[in-house]
Amino acid sequence: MQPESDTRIFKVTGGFTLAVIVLFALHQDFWLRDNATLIAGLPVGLLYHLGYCLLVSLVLGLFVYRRKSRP
Amino acid sequence: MTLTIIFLYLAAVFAIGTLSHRLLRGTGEDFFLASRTIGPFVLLMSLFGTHMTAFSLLGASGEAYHHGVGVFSLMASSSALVVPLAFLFLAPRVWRLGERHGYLTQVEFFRDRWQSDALGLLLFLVMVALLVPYLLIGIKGGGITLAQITGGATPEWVGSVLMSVVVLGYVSIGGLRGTAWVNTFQTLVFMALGATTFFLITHKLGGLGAAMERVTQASPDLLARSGHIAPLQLFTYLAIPLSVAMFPHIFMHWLTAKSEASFRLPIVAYPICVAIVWVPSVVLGILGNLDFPGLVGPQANSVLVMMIAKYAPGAMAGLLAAGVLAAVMSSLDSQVLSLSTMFTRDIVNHYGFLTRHGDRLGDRQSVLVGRIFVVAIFAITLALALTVDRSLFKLGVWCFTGFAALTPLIVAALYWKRSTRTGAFSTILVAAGLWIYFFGKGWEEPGYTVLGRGIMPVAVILAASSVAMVIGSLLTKPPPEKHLTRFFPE
Repeated sequence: MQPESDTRIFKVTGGFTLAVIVLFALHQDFWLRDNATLIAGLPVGLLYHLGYCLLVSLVLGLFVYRRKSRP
Repeated sequence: MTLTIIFLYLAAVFAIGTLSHRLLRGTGEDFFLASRTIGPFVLLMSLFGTHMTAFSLLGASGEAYHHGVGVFSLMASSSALVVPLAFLFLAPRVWRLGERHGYLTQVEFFRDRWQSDALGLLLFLVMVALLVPYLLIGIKGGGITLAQITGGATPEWVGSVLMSVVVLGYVSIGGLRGTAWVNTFQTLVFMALGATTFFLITHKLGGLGAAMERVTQASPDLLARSGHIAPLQLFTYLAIPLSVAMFPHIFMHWLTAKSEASFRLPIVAYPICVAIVWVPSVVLGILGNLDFPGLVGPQANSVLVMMIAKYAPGAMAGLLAAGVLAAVMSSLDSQVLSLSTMFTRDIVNHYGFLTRHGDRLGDRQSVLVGRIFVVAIFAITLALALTVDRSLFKLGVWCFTGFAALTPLIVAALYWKRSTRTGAFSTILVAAGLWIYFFGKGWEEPGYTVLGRGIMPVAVILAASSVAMVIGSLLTKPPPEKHLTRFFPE
């Protein structure tokens, strides 16, 4: 017997797995570790992670809504 | 004036929670799970409001006060990635099984999945032990807020008791439907007022750029991560947000969803909500160094409220403090309800206590028993809140470490047919043993990391508890195929 598919409307694909791995890697922004530059009043490290949150949302949005028509 | 606004806010919250009582259908499922009718937006607000607590406002600003900008990457953006992924992989499956088998609590699910009463009992005790410090964060946070905003005129314990009474009141009357409504209202309030606080204070400081330039002169180290957060610490901290997978109150909210598709919005919008709440908290925590230098340890938990009191006195301070209380209460209510539900369903009803022939209690009696239990838990937590003086952030991290260490349970229960009750027991015992060991280390040495290399204890405990699940399961007989079809249908 096979287990139920990886959730009915959220079926995991190879592309999604790769995107998640890239997101985990991007979280470890060692290249900004010592950088205290201010951009638009915010430290660059904070600005980067603010953009990172938006990127995560975008990637997840592409994934979960792309599957909407194929339950 | 400040106190009047806060009282009005608490009255409004109480009214919303209790008004939902009119919609109650009078069944246990409606009281505890809102009859599984919660749509995407209210689900998002409930999940987010429940997850964010004093930890993310007071604790984050306090921690940013000491350690600067890196706190955002450490806790906020890691949550922005890990939490929605946990929702994506776990919540729809839990929801389907909950709908199919009528589960109301996490303990019920695990007990059934591995056919073990003892496992359910052990898990209940572990959950209570881990939830008490979590409740403590909220109760302490509420007390700190009221005390600070009134310049010490309101003792910390008064604020803690007042908030506890309001939460107990609307949870008892409105059940999870009331809690979901109040959470939605409160999450919107604390997000809006958090942003307002941010703009108001930075404006009074001469603008964000000017204020940050002053930080550059006074404490430049706070604007970069190095010197405060080791690379291995940033990496291993990614395990902390996994705690969301095992929070009993989050589990209950998953079960309230109207459909599987209701999870789409929470998954996508969660990272944005995190940014909206955490960026102001972290920035204001850093800016707190300009006006209130020299705060030591847990004193920094008050820095956000101190800034509100300084830059927005009077009615505005009342409103902004209400925003902080909103964040605190929106977590407390769900935690309280999940504790109450577990106690009535998994202990009193399951073992047939309080009835003559071991029957189940009626819905009304169950709710009453749950309320008494919750009042007792609140009393214990309040007593602890008056005596413990740990940093909210550090207290929270230990609490999250415990929940995160149990993640192998839910992953194995949902995805690994071969997992057994011995594997589950092994996971809990190994996690508990190592948690106690590392907690002792952390208590003796604040800021403790494994081998002094920045490795968070959660990473070690999680690895060990995962291995325990695998070994414990493989060494014992697989569960019967017939039983598995209930959880892994064709």
